[in-house]
Amino acid sequence: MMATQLSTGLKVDQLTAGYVRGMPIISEVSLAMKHGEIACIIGPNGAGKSTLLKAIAGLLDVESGNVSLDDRLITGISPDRLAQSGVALVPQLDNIFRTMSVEQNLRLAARRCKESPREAIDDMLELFPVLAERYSSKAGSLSGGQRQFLAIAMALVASPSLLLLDEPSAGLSPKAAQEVLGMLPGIARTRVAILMVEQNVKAALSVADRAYVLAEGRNQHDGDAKALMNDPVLGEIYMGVRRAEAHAAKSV
Amino acid sequence: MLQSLFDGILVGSILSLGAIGLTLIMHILRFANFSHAELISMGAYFTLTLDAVFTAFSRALASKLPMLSVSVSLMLAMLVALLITGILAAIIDKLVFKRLREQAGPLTMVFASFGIGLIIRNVIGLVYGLKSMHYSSDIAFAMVISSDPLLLIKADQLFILALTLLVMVSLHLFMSRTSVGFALKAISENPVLAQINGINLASMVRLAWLLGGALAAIAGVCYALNNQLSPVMGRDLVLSLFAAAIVGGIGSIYGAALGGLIVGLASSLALLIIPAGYKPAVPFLIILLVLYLRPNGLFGEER
Amino acid sequence: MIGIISYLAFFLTIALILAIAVLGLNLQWGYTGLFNGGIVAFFGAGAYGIILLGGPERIDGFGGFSLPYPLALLGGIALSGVLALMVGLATTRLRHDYLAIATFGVAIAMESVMRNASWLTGGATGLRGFERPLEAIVGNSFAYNLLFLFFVLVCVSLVFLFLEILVRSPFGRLLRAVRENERAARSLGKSPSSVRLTAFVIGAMIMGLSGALYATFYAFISPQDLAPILTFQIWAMLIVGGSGNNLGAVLGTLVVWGAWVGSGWLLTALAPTHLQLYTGSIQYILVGAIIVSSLLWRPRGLLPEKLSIHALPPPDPGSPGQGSESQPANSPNQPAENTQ
Repeated sequence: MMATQLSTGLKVDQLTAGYVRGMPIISEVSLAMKHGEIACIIGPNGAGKSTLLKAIAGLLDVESGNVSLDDRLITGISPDRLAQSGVALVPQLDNIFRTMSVEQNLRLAARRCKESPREAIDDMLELFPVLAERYSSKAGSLSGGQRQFLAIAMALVASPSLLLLDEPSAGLSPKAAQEVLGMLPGIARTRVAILMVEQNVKAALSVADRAYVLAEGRNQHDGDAKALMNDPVLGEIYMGVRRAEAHAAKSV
Repeated sequence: MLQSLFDGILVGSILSLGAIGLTLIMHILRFANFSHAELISMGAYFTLTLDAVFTAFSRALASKLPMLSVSVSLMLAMLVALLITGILAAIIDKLVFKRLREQAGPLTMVFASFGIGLIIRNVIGLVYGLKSMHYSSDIAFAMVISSDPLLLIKADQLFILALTLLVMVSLHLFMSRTSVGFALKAISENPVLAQINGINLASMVRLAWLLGGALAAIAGVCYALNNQLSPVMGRDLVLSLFAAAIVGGIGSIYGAALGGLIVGLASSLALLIIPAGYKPAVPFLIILLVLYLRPNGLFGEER
Repeated sequence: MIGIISYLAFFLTIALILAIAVLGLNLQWGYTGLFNGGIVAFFGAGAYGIILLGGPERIDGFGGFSLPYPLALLGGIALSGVLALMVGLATTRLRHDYLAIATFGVAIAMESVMRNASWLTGGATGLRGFERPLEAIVGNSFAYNLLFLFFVLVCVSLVFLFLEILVRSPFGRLLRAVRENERAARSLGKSPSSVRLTAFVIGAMIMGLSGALYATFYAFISPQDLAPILTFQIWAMLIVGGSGNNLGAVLGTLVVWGAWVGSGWLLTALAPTHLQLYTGSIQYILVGAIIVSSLLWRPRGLLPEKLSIHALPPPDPGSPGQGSESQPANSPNQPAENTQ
């Protein structure tokens, strides 16, 4: 692994974590990525992909191992403090406050901006014009794609250095999914490290730089995303690929 | 009938203030706090003491506001008392509820809240005596606005209505305009999402107690102005507060405000058909009715 | 000497009657994790039920059917069961603290019925009961009191055995599973709510039995006997003894009832006349303090639960020691009244 050579970015080292102490969901998982890079975690259901994201975001009890961001150890820091210091997680479900308006959601998220929350929100509205249109609507009334944009905007509004996305295309129409995933390279270029979990493997690999394959809570394989797409090894570990490909083919 | 409506709205607006804090805590910390009503008593009695202190400092403060039995010093006393009550509520949480949250389940907190209620109620009884009291001995002379045989309204009562309205409007502005207000809303809607948006859970819990305690204290002063101070005033209100919170839907601030009015009105109107002795049972019937028909209340979400 | 034995018998009779209610609560809270904020209502339903059914005919109201004792007893128990069913049906499928609120409410509703429905309950003056069963045959009141104590002892033992068998049965395992799930605040499907309802109703009927025995013993019941503090006392007894342990429940009853009676006696003896009014407040603070401090520092009680469900995170860090933290005087040789 090339993890040791990186000085900045995210580094996960031998991380073991779960919901109940003594019953880890992920064991000794390692990964490393630079700012500006998009990495994708893939693997069968129950492989511990979402658990890994939650553990990085400080939502789970870490039993052993370390997470560091830009050479700063962030293991064991509470989720709200991590959010203040540049880690943004977009959960798969319930990722917006439904009873609050789009404006309130954004203003809430922008509380953690270091300077000028107003401008930060304006930037987001520029990036996601649809949110400007629905600015005073209740977030609960947004369509699936709009909700996802709002959730991502809430994560990005405070200019995080690490963006964690849990199944950003889940439940979206193929068009909306394409739109969401298509934005990621542009976001990454602003020196954000993007780590995502995605069921839609083909689409995810096509935007990602690196891919990590997880199975049964452990590292199975990792490598260049484009290369992995055609690697037969993947199919053996990860049965879902064929289905996903079939699905993707059908939806095109 | 007209009188019942007026009384119902008056008592209802007081209940609303008490129920808002209750519903917030019940939603965020997921436990029914049976000692919440004791914050009402605490606020009322602290105001009594502080009023005496302020009056002793300056006689000028003791002068009554026009037409009311309310004095300047009473209002000052209330402001200080609501702060003290809020802080004490947060301290009780830190000393007892927080530790139980970490060690055991939410029901253990319910258990403890009964014990705390019992302690507070009886300490108040020991300190202030078991007899009921009034803020002002000449409370009976407060101006009567309407002495129509069908509708008796005192100036004090209008003052209470105006005060509760002012408090609720301020609360609405706080919750809908400030980002701290959003944060409080956010933490009660989805604590995990709120945390990953940078909101500190512990500080919001503290804020909820401060707010709940302060609102309860205002409710206590209003209740004491309208009725009297007594060590069991909180206990007498606790079921109505729960009824208000449940009618409105647990966690909904606006629901609790409306729920308070509904419970106040229902209790007042019920007296037109049932003997007065059964009044304490009315909130229970409301609770059963809501739980059977609409368990999530008017504004609550399914949990 | 007879005086002391007579007082001890009296103390034990009341304590054991209360122990039955504590056992009922242990089924609800200790084994199933159901919160009952209105024990006094179920206790009261049993008490009023047995007197209405078994008592002498009333000229001024409903009831007084002079039923044979066993029938009246069963009737009182059944009445508590029906009350519990009403409350349980509304709440056992909902958020768990709704049960706490509804049971608290039922106690308040019960109190207003007791005080106001004179045609049914005799109002504030209460209801006079029936002559205690077999009392005329025994004649000697000292001997009768010992006999009654024995009868209560038999009842406690039967309830104890019944619960021990119940909690060891598959149903008992189900109860604990439901409880652990509740504590983990997981949402539950349909069948757990019927398990909860069953446990709640059985527990309430046991409380009804306790109330019925109480009313039998005093041959009288009034709202004064059913003060809200009774609910808190029963809780304190269970928590001090160790919830989830039937032996602990009985032990806790003796300890807390002893402390209650003893403190009442002590306060009455020590407090100057003009402060006598406040002895009640001090005792209530004591009960509150026992509840809160036990929960904080000795949550598992004197005799902690033995049966527990496997494959769960380890219990709270507190040491499950057996030491006794407070050892109140257990036998004040003073013919103190029931200090409630």
